[in-house]
Amino acid sequence: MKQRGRRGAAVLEFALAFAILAPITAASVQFIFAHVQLALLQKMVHAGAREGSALAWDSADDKPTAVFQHKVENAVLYGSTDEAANKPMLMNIRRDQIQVLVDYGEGRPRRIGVAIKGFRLLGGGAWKDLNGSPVAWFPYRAASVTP
Amino acid sequence: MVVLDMLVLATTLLFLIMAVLGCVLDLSRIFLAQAKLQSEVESAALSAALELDGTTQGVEKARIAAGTYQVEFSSPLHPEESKSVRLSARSRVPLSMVRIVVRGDARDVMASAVAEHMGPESPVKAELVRAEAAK
Repeated sequence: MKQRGRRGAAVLEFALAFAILAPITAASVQFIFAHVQLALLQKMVHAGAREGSALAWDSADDKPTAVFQHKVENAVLYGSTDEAANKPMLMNIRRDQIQVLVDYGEGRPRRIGVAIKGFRLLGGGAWKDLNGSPVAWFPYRAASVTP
Repeated sequence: MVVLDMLVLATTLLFLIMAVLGCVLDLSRIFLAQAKLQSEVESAALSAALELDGTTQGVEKARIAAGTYQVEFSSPLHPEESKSVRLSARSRVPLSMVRIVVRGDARDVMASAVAEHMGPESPVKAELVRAEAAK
C-alpha cells in the first residue's frame, strides 16, 4: 500500500513538472531555432549583395532586369548566381521574399542591397515578421554597364 | 509534500533551462553582431578599394569611404601607390547570461577585410582578397 502511494506520488510529480517544463523547453528550442534562422538570413543577404554588386548592370534605369534580379536571388538562396550549384541555404524562404535594392545615380548603380521582406520568423511561440531586415549593402563594382 | 518536491524540482530545472537559453541567446547575439560587422567592413573595404586610382585624392576618398574603421594601405609609406586596402573594426556586444560563465559584461567582436583595386581588364573594379572574423 505504501509502495503504491510512493509510486503515485512520483507519477504526480512527473506529471506536474512535465506540464510546467515541457512548454518552456519547446519554446526555448523554437526561440533558438529562430535565432539560427536569423543568423543564416544575415549570411544570405550578405552573399546576395556581394555577388549582386559585381554583376553587370543590364537595365536602362534604376529597376533591375528580371535576369539581374534572378541572379541576385540565386546568390541569396544558393550562395552562387548559378542555381544548379547548391542546395538552398534556408528551405522555407521564397524568391518573392528577397528584395533587391538599388541605390542609383549618374546612369549607373552606386550600391546594391539585399533585404528580406515578409518572412515570418517563429520563436518561443511568438513570431516576428521581417520587413526590410536583415539588410546588406555593397558598393557597385562591376566594370561594365550595358543598358 | 509531493507538491513541495515538485516545486523544488521544477524550479531547479527552470533555472537550468533559463541559464542554458540565456547562454545560447548571448552566443547568438555575438554571432549576429559579428556577421553584421563583417558585412559592413567588407562593404567599406570594397568602397575604399574602388577609390584607389594612384592619386593622393584617391587615397583621401578611400579614407572617407572607410569611415570610422581602421585603414591600412598596402604601401604605408606611399599610400597613393597602394593597390589594396585593409580595414579592421571592433565592436562590443553586451552579455546577459554568459557573464555567469565568463568574466566581463561585454564581449569584443572583430572583423577585417582586404580589398584590391583590380586592373582595367578585370570584369570588376574591386575584389575582396581576404575576410577575417574573430570572436
